[in-house]
Amino acid sequence: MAAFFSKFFPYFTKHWDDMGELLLDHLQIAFTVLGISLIVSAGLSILIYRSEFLSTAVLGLFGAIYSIPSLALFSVLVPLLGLGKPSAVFALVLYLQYILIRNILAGFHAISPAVLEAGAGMGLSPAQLFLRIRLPLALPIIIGGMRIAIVAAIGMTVIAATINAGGLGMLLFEGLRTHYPVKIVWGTLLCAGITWIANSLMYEIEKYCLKKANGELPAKEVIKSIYGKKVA
Amino acid sequence: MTMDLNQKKNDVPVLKFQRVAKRFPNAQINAVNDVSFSVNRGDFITILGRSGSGKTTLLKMVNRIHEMTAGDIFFEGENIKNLNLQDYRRRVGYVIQQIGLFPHMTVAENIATVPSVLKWEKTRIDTRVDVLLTLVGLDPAEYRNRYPGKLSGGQQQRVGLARAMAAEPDLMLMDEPFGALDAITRQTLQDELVKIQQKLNTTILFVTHDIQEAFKLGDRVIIMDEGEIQQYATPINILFEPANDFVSQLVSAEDAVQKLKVLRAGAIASDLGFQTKSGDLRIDKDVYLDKVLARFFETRAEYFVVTGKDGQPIGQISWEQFKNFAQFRKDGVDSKKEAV
Amino acid sequence: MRADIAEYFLENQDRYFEAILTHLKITGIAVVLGLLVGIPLAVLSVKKEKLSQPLLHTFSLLKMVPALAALMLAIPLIGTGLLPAVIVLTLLTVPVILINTCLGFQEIDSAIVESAHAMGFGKAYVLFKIEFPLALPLILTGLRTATVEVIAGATLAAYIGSGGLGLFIMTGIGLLRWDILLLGGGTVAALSIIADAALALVSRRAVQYR
Repeated sequence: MAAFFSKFFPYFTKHWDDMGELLLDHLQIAFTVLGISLIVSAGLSILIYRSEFLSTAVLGLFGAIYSIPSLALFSVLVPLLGLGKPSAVFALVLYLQYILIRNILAGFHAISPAVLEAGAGMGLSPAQLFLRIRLPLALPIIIGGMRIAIVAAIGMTVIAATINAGGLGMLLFEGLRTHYPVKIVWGTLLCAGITWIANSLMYEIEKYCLKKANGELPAKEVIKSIYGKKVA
Repeated sequence: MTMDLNQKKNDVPVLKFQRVAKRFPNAQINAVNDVSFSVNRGDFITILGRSGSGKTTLLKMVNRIHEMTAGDIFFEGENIKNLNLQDYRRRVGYVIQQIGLFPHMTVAENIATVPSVLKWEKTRIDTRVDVLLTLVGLDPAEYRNRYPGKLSGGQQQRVGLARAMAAEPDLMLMDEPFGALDAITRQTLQDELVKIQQKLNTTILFVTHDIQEAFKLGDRVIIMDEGEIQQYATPINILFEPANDFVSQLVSAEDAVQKLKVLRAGAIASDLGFQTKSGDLRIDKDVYLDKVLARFFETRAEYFVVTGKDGQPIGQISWEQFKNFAQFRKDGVDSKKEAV
Repeated sequence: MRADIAEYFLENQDRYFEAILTHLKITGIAVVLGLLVGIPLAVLSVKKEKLSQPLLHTFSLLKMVPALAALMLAIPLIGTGLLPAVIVLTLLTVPVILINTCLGFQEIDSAIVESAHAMGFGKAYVLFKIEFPLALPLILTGLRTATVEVIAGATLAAYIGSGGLGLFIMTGIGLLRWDILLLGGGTVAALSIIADAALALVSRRAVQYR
């Protein structure tokens, strides 16, 4: 133990720039993935929103993908896209679709039909109805989904190190290979750290959006019903 | 030029249905079948019917929430199919039973929705919001910045009403607006709506399944059943000359006591014909006849002086007259007197 | 490619099936242990208000540590092989099972429990015969999520020497042999989809019973 601690802090002072690089790399992957995922999920949601059949089918497909361990998902893509970032990014984008689409759909479906009917009846154009009414009301749930997604993205980018995609996972594997626990601990700390920061930040944004949607169902209750538990 | 326009406005009915029908996809029969009628400026028309009678579908075809499958609807002379949908809807106020206030906007923002879309200047909108809140009985200072979640059902519907009237619509559509409220609030809002309508001379189309509400509020009543208009007439005409058995049963036209609940003193008051004395018992024109009967029993009066606005005598009802109520023919009864 | 996979499979059937077995073993033990720890803890936290917040907070924080890191950190403390994998993965399941069980209990209409107590049923009876059945749907959801997560974790555990299908993936990457990679990855994928679907079915059946 003592040996560990004597090396713990010096490691940081000596290698903070390397660690910083890996950290930035990690964040870059996670945010790139999130950005692409949002665009894809938004597009898909628009397409399947009106059809219950499509919604169930698409969510079912991505749900199956979601249940696959990330390492397995990476390994299926590597033969196609090779080792490195492309496979990781592609896999993660596929993986995040389930969470994002589910929450986007839930957010929009949760809006009271009376509100939409009143809005349409008073002459709001579809665009105005969307920007002024639908979006603000759906936002809390969507942001909630984004929060889960970014936490997942950060977590899985760690595993992406197994296919040479970079990020903090590299630190972990170096530590494992060289039997140097200090690296593993630093890797873990940094990773847990950015996860915690990202989660907290998104949570604040989510709370704010929820307050703005004022008087709406708290996001938790609606998501419970998507899990299949219909409250009698 | 302005004179001509105003003239034109008053000549043309605000709303005209011409052989309108609606059949929903996968349905065997028409929800609304071959309906034709007109509504003039300043009319308060109630549409009465059971659930499934087509009354709500009828209403929703006016602002094209439902699209008609046959026929034409004319708004101020123009075929609504030729009008830009959003522009048209902004000229028609819409109030629904579940109210549908935007939960993420304040009361003021809710009311300001259409005016802000029409790009009114801020000061004009602010003034309008205050005027409307006062009109529906809510103190602007207190309610402007409140959120719908913090309002009672009655308060919410008042805001809903204000919101629908915000852009000075030519026509108001109301779909069982008080249905979700408790009986006392409903009564209060009904009375206030009548006052507002009289003050602004608004044209209103009001759907309800409540006979008393329909007869109390409507200048004329459209009775719907099975997608067709059964009768379109004043409450008095419906009571004394029901168009068919359905209407007759609906309004219990055979039941003298039932009629008492639907007519008010002002409707059957005959001319005063004498100088009122201080000892005369008075009764307001808006009191329903069943209450008038009760007063007769309590006081054993021979007659009541009927008073109108500000307590001014406008007519009289005698016990003799009342006893022969069942024999009243409709020409002995004039609903216009109520508006005095 | 398919020919390569088939060839490799036929040559290494023993190791392949052994890997599946190990994988299932780890998953099974971790999930069962997770249930044994998580459910009582959840019941405890629901019954004792004071415990619920700190307990939930601690375990939410635990969730932030990536499974891979946790597995690696276990080595200096416990060693390599099956044991650290099982211990770490059990710890992985507890938060999920705990949170879902808590939610399941909180969802129960208090009126039902009150009337049961009023009828004279003891706490134990109410707990087992009334509360558990009512909380079951959410508990099963937790079980389902936990199982899928453990299958994922068990795949990673190969990196700390516990065997399992992750070994094939590791080997495939190391040797740049995509056939081995796909054999491992494909099997894990199939395994988790089947487990997820099966548990989803069980969940639905349990709810229907009500």
